[in-house]
Amino acid sequence: MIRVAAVGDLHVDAEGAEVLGPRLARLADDADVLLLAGDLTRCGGRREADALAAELARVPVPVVAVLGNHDHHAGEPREVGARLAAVGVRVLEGEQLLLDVRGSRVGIVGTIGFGGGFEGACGSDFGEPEMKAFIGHTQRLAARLEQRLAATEADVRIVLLHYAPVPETLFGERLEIYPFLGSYLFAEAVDRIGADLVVHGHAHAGSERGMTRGGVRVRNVALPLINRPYRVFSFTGRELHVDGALEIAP
Amino acid sequence: MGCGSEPTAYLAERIRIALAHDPRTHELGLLVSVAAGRVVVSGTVTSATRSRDVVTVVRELCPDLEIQDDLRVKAADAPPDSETVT
Repeated sequence: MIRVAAVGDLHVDAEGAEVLGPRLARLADDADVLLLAGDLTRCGGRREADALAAELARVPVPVVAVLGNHDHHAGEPREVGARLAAVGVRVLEGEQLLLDVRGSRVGIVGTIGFGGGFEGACGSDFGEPEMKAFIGHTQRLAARLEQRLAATEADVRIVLLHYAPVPETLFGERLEIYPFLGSYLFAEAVDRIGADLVVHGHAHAGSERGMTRGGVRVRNVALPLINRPYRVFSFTGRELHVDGALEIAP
Repeated sequence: MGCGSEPTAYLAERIRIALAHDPRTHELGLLVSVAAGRVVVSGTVTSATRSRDVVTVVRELCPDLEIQDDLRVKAADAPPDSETVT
């Protein structure tokens, strides 16, 4: 059995509030890997990233993360990523990672994602350059996700996002802001290739459970929503492989 | 700019923008409503300190209004919720 812990929207400040708290030492009892679904810092400051890195350095299992919009606010997302990477966190943006968990290959494909809306009520890359840039950015990230997912051969495939790929996990948020909370293009990309699970954050007032049109489970793990240090997903009945290697692809 | 005569919907949005940009908070996910001379702020924050900072920012912006703190601080040590994916 493969156990994956996931949480997003930690919003750590420079004082370094212990987001995982007393659970941190016990994380290895609960899970084989920890996924972080973006908004790891309050506004992407270097001191915030250092505070989070200090805590994540003590996590006893591999940590895989994507950044969120808060991690971009200070204009230095690469700095945030580098400071987390320095303590061993694998920060993904349009990349995949293959982990060997007791002989099973766990493939994780990560991107922050972006907004744009959902089927029947979404923006188009039409008109002003600003609108084309907005939707074009989403389209490029979704295309990259699809490409990286297709290149990921694994026993368990997990997609890690910050923004939501389906509206179901936004229920509870105001309908008017859905286009700023996610885009169906990421669900479409997932459904073209297939995956076992999609986790995301961003929507603090949303709902925990949803599904892509193609039937892939989607889970909103925003910390303010789940109100616990993380959720755990257990994958059973997976074929075992003994030659799994740890690698990251550009 | 005070808060006395401003339409409540605009004021609520101004408070939300302040909570997003103020370096003490940088909170975008909170619900803010204003009615009957009262500001109600709700949602979940990660610490008691952050909760106090949110109230402080709102109070500085609207010193003349009553503030109802409906914020929830996330549980630090709740057991993780588990789900089996087959």
